[in-house]
Amino acid sequence: MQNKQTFFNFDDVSDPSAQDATEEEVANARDEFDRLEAAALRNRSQTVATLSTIASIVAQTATPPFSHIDPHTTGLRAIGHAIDSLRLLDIEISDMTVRDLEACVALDLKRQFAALTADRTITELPETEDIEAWGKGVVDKLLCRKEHGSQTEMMFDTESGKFYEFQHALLEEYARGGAIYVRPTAACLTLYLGTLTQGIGDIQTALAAVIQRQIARGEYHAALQTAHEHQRITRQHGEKIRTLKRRILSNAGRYSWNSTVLPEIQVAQRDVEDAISADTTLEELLDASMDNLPKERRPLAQRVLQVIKSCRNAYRELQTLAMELPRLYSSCIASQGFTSTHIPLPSMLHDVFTPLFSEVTESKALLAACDVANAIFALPRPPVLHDIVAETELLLKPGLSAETRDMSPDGDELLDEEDLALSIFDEVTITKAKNTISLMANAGPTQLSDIMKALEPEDFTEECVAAAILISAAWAHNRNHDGMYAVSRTYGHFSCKACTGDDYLIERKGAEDEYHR
Amino acid sequence: MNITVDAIDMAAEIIEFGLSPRKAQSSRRLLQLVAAYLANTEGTRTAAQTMARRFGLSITSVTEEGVVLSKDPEHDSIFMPKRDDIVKEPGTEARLIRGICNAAILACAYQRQQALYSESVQTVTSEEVYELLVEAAAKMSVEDKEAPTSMRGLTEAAKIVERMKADSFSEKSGKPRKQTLRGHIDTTFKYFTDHSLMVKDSEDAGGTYKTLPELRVRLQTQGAQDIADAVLSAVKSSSADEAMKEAMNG
Repeated sequence: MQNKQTFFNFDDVSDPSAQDATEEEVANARDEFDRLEAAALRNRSQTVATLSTIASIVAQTATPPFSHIDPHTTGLRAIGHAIDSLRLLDIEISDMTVRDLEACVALDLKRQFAALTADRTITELPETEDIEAWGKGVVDKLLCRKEHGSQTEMMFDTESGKFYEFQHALLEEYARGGAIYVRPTAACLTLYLGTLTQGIGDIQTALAAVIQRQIARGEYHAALQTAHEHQRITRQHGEKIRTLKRRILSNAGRYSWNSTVLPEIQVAQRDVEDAISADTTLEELLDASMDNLPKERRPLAQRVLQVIKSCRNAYRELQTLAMELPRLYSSCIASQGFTSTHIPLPSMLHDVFTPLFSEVTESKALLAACDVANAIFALPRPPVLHDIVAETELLLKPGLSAETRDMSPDGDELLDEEDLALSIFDEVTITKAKNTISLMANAGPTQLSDIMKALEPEDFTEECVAAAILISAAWAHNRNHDGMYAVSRTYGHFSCKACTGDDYLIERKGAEDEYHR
Repeated sequence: MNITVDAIDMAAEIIEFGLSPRKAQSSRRLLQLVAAYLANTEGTRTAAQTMARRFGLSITSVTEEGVVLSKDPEHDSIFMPKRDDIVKEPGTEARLIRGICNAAILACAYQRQQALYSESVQTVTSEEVYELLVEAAAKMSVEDKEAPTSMRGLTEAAKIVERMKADSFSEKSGKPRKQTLRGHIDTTFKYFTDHSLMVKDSEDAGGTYKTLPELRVRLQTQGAQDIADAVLSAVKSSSADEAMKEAMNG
C-alpha cells in the first residue's frame, strides 16, 4: 500500500533540487505558501469563532457565588460528557439527552462549589435549584440556542477577499425515534481533541507511534492514557465520516462528486486503512510482548490491548461505511433527483407569516391560504377502527408471567410497546369480579346493579369496572358469560363510584344453551 | 425487473413505517430498509412506490430519520384524514385560527430561512408564538392611524388576534382556556406533537417544543412552497378585491 505511513520517516524533508529553483518556481512556491497561510488563518479564525461559545459562558458577570466558578473547565467538561456519550462501535448514536447533560453539568458545578466552600471563598453552597438553572444555561449556550448567541458569523476570507457565512456550534441536538438527544459536532470533536491543522489520519498514526514507543519502554500507564486519546479520535473519525454520510443522504446533488465527495471519501478510506494498519501493528506488538511481561504488568497491558482492539473494530466498521459511500452517493443522486432543496425555499417569516398577517385583507382569501397551511400537516395514517369491546376484552386478559418473561433479544427489535401494556387489571381483581358474579347468579337471577351494590361498599371499585366490562362484553357478543350465565339487557341503569351504564339480568344456564342462542 | 417476495415484504414494511411513525421501531431495521430502498435491491423501491400509489400515497422520503409519506395528488387515499379531522372544532373561524397559528409557529421555528435547509433541531416556545402574533397585530393597529380604536382597516388575521389575545386561564389546571389565543396556540402545538412533527421538551415559556425531522422534510419537499404560493395568491386576491372596492367607491 503506497499510502501507508512509516512512523518515523523524515527522509523526504530536504529537497536538493529546490536550490536550483527558477524565479517562476519561487513565485509559485510563494503563491502556494500564501494560499496555505490564508487557509491556516481561515482555519484559526473559524477555530476562534467556534470557541467563542465557550468564552461566552462568562462567569465574572454573574452574581456571586456563580462569579467564582471556572467557566472554561465547566464548558469543556460539558463537551467531554457529550463526546464520551458517543458509542464507539455504533457511531450514529449517542444516548445523552439534553436533560442528562444538564444534570452532568450541575454535578460538575457542585464539585466546584464544594471546593470553593472548602477554601472559604464562599460561605455556603448555593441552592441546588440555582445550580441546576446555571447548568441549564451553560448547556443552552453550548447548543447556541436562539437567545444564547448565534450559530452563524460573517467572516472574511483573505484569499478570496470576500465575506462568507460560517455556521458553528459545539453541540447539536438531533431527533431519534421521537426523542431529542445531544451530540458533539464534528467541529467540536476536532477542537476538543486539539487537532487543528493536522489530518485525523496523521494524528492517529502519530499517536500509534507514541503508543508503540511507550510499550517498547514499558510505560504502560502512559500507553493506556495515549490509547484513550486514540479512542477519542476514533470517535471523531467516526463523526467525520457520519457527517459526510448524512450530507449525502440529505441532499447528494448539492455536493459535487469530483470536488467534494470523492476527495473526502478517498481521504476517509485512506485514513481508516492507515489507522487499521497502525492498530494491527500495535496489537501484534502487545501480543508479542505480553508473555515476557512480569505478571503485575499484564493487566495494564491487557487494558491497553482492549482499547486498541476496540478502536480497530470500530475502524473496521468505519471502513465498511467508507467503502459503501460511493454506492450510497450514486443511489442518492438517482433517488433524490431534483429535490426541492435545489430551489430556494421560501422564508417562513417573510414569505409566509408576514404577508399572511399584514397583506391579506379578504376573509375568503385568508381562509384559502389557511386551509393550505393546515392541509400540509394532514398526514397519512392507518384508519382507526375502534372495536371497543374487543379492546376491553384484550385489556381484561391478564398478562401471563410466561409471556412477560419471553423477552428474547431477537424479538426485541420489532416489539410493539402496546403489546406489553395489555393488562389493566391484575388476575386477583378479575377473579374477584368473576367469583362475585358466579356466587350471586348461582343463588338465583341477579342484576349487574346488584353485583355493584355488593362490591362497592367494600371499596372493590376496580372489581366493579371489571364486572361491568365482562357482562357488557358477553351481551355485546351475544354469548353467555363464563359459558353458563345468560345475559340480557333490562333497560335500567347501574352506577358505581367509577362508572355507570346499562343494567343487565344475569341468569345461570346450562353450558349447552350456548348453542341454542 | 424481477421483484422478489422479500422486496415486497420490505416495501410493505417501508409503508408501514411511514404510516405508523410512533410504533416502536428499530433504527437498525430502518437502516436496512433505507439501504434496500435507495439501492432498489431486488426492486424494493419499485414495489414500495407502486404499492403506495395504489393506496393513494406517494413516498416523499426514506432516510435514516424515518419514512415520510404524502398524498398522491392524482388519487384519493383511505389513509388521508378529512378536513374535519385536522381541525376538530366546527366553523370557518377555527380553520382560520389554526392556519394563522401554524404560520406563526413555523415562522418562529424557522426564523432564519437557512434553518429550513439545516438538519438541526429547532426550538420554539408557546410564549414567542403568542408574542409574534400579538406584536404583529399591534403593529397593524399602529400603522392604521385612521382608525386606531376600531378594528376597521386591520387585516383579517389581525382582527382575530386582537379579539382573542386577552388571557384567561383555567382555575383548576392553570392552563390557558381553549377559546383564547394562547389556548389555540397550545391546540396547534398539540396537533404537531400528536402527529410526531414536534416533541414537547418542557413547560418553560408556556411550553417549549422541538422540531422532529418529519416536519422539516415535509416543508422542504413541497409544503413550504405550497404554503408560500397559497399566501401569495391570497395577497393578490386581496389586492384585486381592494382595487375593485376603490373603483366602485371612486
